[in-house]
Amino acid sequence: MTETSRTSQGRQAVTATANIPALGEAMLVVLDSLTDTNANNVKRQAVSALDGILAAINDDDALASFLPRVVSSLTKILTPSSSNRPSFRVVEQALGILTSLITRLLSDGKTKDLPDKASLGQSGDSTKVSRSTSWLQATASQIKIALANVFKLRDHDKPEVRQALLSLCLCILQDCRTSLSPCTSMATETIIGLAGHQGSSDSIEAQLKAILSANQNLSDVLRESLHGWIVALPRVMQSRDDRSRHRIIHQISVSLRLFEEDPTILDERLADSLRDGLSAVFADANGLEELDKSTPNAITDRALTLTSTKSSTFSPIALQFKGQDHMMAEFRVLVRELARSNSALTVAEALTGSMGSRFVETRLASFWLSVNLVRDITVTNPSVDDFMDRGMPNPREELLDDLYSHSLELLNQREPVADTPWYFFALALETVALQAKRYRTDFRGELSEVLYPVLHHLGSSNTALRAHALTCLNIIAEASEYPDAGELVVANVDYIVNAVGLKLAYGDVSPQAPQVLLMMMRLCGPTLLPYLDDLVDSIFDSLERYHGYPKLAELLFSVLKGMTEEGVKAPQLALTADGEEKHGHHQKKAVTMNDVIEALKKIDADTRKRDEEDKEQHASGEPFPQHPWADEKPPSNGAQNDPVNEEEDDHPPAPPTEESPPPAPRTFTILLKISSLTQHYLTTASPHLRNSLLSLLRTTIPALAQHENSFLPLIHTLWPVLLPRLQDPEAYVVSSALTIITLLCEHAGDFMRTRIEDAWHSITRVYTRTKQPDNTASPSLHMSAALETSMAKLSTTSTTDLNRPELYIDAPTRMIWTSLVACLCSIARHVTLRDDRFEHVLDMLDPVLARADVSEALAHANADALWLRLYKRSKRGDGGGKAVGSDGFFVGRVPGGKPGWRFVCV
Amino acid sequence: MATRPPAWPTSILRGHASQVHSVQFVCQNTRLLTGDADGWVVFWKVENKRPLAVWKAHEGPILGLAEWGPTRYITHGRDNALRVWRLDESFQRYSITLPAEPGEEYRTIPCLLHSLPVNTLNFCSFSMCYQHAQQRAQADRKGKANMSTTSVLSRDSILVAVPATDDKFVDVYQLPGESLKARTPRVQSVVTGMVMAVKLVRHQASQIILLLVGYEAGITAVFKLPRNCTGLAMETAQLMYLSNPHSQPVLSLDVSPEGDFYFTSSADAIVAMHHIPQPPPDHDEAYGSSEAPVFPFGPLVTLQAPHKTLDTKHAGQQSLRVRSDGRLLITGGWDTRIRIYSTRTLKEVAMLKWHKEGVYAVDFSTILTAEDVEVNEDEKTRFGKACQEINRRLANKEEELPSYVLRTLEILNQKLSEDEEAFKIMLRQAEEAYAFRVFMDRMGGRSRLLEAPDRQREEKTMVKHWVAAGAKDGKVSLWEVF
Repeated sequence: MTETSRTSQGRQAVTATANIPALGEAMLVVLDSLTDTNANNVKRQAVSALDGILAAINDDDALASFLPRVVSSLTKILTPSSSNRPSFRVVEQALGILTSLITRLLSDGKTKDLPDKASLGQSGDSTKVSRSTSWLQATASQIKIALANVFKLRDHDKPEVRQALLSLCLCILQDCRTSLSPCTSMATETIIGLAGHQGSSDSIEAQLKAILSANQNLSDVLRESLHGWIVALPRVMQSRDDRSRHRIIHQISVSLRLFEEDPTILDERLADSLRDGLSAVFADANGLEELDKSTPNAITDRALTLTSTKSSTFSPIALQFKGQDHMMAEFRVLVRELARSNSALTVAEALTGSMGSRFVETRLASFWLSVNLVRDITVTNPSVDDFMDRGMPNPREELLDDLYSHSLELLNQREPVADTPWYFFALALETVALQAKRYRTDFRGELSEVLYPVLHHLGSSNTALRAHALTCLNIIAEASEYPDAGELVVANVDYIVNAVGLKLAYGDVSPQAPQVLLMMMRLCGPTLLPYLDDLVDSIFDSLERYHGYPKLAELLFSVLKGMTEEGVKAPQLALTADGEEKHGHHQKKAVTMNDVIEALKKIDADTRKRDEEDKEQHASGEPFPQHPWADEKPPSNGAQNDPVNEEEDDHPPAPPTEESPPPAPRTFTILLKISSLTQHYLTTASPHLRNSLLSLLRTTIPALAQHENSFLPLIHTLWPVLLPRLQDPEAYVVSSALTIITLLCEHAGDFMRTRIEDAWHSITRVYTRTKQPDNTASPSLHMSAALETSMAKLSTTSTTDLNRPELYIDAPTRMIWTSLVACLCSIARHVTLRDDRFEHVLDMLDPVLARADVSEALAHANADALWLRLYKRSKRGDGGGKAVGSDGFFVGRVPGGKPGWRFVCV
Repeated sequence: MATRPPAWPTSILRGHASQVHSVQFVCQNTRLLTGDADGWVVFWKVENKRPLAVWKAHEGPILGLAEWGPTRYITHGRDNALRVWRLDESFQRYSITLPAEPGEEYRTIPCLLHSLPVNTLNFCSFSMCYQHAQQRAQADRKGKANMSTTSVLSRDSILVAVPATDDKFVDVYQLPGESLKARTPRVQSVVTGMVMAVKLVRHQASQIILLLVGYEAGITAVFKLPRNCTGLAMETAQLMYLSNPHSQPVLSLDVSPEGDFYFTSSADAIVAMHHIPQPPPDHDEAYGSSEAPVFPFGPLVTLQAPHKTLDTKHAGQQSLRVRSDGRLLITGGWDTRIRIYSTRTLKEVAMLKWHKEGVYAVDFSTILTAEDVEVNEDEKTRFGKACQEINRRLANKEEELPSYVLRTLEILNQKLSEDEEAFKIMLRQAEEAYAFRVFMDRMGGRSRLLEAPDRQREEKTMVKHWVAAGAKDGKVSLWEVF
């Protein structure tokens, strides 16, 4: 056949009347074999044969008569279905045939001078079809149906097939615009679909671009349909059909990409459509947004940390539904495409204009779009402007500045409007990051305004927003060349203090401000403290106003506690207390043999000294000593200290060693202020708060004790409120209060004497409380054996071998008991007690006298009384082996002071 | 009047460890000087609210601060000294460890140019006025066109008024001459007590320098300085106006920019507005005539009622300032509030509350328009910027500078500290050399290096209407109002 068609005679012959039936037969066979066989080989041969036949038919009318059959057969092959999977070569070739067929018969050039009516003379001829306008119309509609199926091939995996399809589409669009006008839109869509099939790297796209730039016609067609899509965008976005929504976004983005080099005037329209489309998506999301807000986690749980993963890219803003996320992704793509076109800036400008809209969704959509647009513009146009002299301001940077100031407004809202969705803040954070990236180190100057808001959102209850804030912080740190976010915060802590201070000073009670403060404290350490004095005031003010809100109060106190914990680390206050301990607070009342000896020695030394001095004076004739007396003290001191292992401060007036303590540092003042302000809250209704206050005091007292002049007045202030805590209904508060008393005794020593004396009744009551629960049977002051042993067991570890069946003691009682023991020991060790009181202490501590620490402490006060008590106890012999054991243990230690004595175990 | 939400301070400057006694905007609002009761002075950059220089200017509390020309600053302390410092942060880095922080042993501090022993027994701050201020003001206003004719800049001698050794009088010194130029006479008609506040001002209409004084007895007086102290000998000021609006010592006074009205505040609750009478012309013209010595103390002036008074009901208005456009006045009081009044009606227009302890010092920033800011960039500042940039690069070891450039810079620096005129000539000459010009362009002025956000921010800072207030708690609050 191919051979025959080489010559014109041959062609003539083929379509000669006589040959028509044979030709038709052949055609039928070929087409049948094409459609009916399953063998790919046959199909391929059939296709080539078909190609040959068609090429050989010279007469268009003859060809037209075959057209319906050929097209339907080809369509059958080309329609993808599960049963029919022709090889891609077949498909490619079939598409080629279809293209050439359409070009030959239906192109505008061929069809424009068709007669209106079928010519009568030929109507009798059954084999030939007379081509006319009506024929064309009928054919076109048939072709449209066929093409609709064929175009499904656009997603074919083989580039060859897509290439062939493209030429088919192009042929329809270029050559058959009028003849096949119903198919145009379909073809356009297909082209776009083909172009966007695998991203912009596809060769089809490049090819298409080239064609577009050369062919005004085609690009007009395409632009028209683009306009149509853009207009349709908001409507489609509101439809429920996800697929169509995806498709339209895809189409727009691809066509925008195709028009990359071509200035299109669609901007205004585009901006509006985009915004409306996106706000439709947001509108869907908004209804359900509240859901994740209603699951608040406890405020105090969230410690602000900066050390977690260093994310430096924002995760996309997530909406409620997965589908919406896809939509957003599509929009992202669209925006990215848009950013490349020159119209991007105008679009973005139009969008920024509508950011002040009344509707939340619209505002959000505009904001989202402009932020993303600007970002993409920055990325895709690595600014030529930067290399040019800027005679006039750069529109992109102006736009970013606009956005930035808008974001700042958002972030710095004094009273955040409750119903502002978090997306706004997230977007604002993204803008800030963009600006930071733009200005690099110059951005440092902006930090005074920006840093706090970012940190503020780090304490948000919304996880995504938190992540955003963290990312933003990392980006800022990186852009402005700080080693990490922590350094960033430390270097700019003054700004944060300022912001937090203002928030607190004006009674802002959002939890973030204190949280940020706490985080700063941890990061910066005690050097920050001198700047915080007014913040402490503000915190106490808020406490006063909002004491009814336990969560908040707790948070504020955790900040205060953080401050004190950092504060005591300050170098001036972190002096080890050991040197100070021998301050002469603790005085023994009982005069020991040693004291007498010492006193005698001293008198002796004094007289001797005086004698010497007299002699000296006589010798030199000087009326007055030349050097200060203080110089002469060391030798005599040393002489006294050596033989006896006692401190010299047993002498009644402990000389004030330092003239005046160094002026207290500012940190100290703050600690003192915090501590003394606690007095007003120790009576608060919340036991938890009471306890945390006490533990706060526990932290500060050792540091404060360094400056006696202010420490003792503090005790004076605190004592009246502290004492009632011993009667607190909550056991742990009592226990904490006891601990505080312990500390006070330890640091203030004899200053506490009268206070302990006055408080004795309270302490006794605490004691009775500890034994009340299980001592109902014998309410006397003396312990029942059972309690005694159990107590001993619980509190000692060394005597666990002396087993007794344990009695249960509830935790609160045990807690109080432990603290009480410690407290009494501390009292005995540091404070002078009356004899009867000491007896009482022995009574109370009876069960644990055997413990090394207890006995040591008590021995400090009055070893003799202690010994006697132990002796009596062992005499009583109720404990049997146990008492002996413990006594024996003890006996070995006492003789330290009285080496000559021996005890006999009974 | 609709109630607005309470204003918030823009920022709190923390760093003083004791009471802040003086605040003063300088360098066209880009810097703020604050001085505290321990003698520390902090030179803040308003734009980023951080110190650029911190030094201990005096051993006693700072009483007053002022700016003298572009790089000289005057401090007045209770250690009986008035000091002038050169401070130019574009050439040198100073120590910036704030007084509240643990100190460092060695500090780089501004260099001391003058130290004038003065009496500071009372808490009266000094006041200064340019002796030849008129041309200067013009130069400032008219800007670039006139910049080339600013030869008067080198003649920027100033007059400084401080209480005299007998603290009922006021002495007027001239700087840099450090010579005593005038002294107020004893006010004869009333018992004034000691001087509590002084203010030197130029009466714009007559170009005569006036001295306003507030006394312990609540009396205030206006004196005229004869021949603006241009004479060689010490002269006696001439009393022009006397009023007794207050029952308590006058604490502060300030004058309208035109020099026609002034305001006094005292330990009582009254703010008084005084009209300054037209000063009589000097007798200079009639120097040879016999009329001059007839009234050596001027005509006898009796007590007059103030123009207007306002009983604020808040006793103890420690500090009072009038804004540079003369429309607002601000007071800071012991009641911890900062109040702003209209100067015309004396009506309270705003109350700023942040401090928890008494406010000791307040100041307005100068009102500048965008134009003022624009024209401000003359050779010197441009050079300064370039130097700043050079310093930065040298510090970062970013680039090697040609030794020739360094030498030129050195010479220029030297010239700048000696004489501005010479500096300018030198700079022009240096810029003749192509290499140097290219270099300077790259570094400062026209190049983009300093333009972008820094410059913008600075300009923004300059045109803002700031209020600064320092209080007993050692904090300085910075507000942006009206």
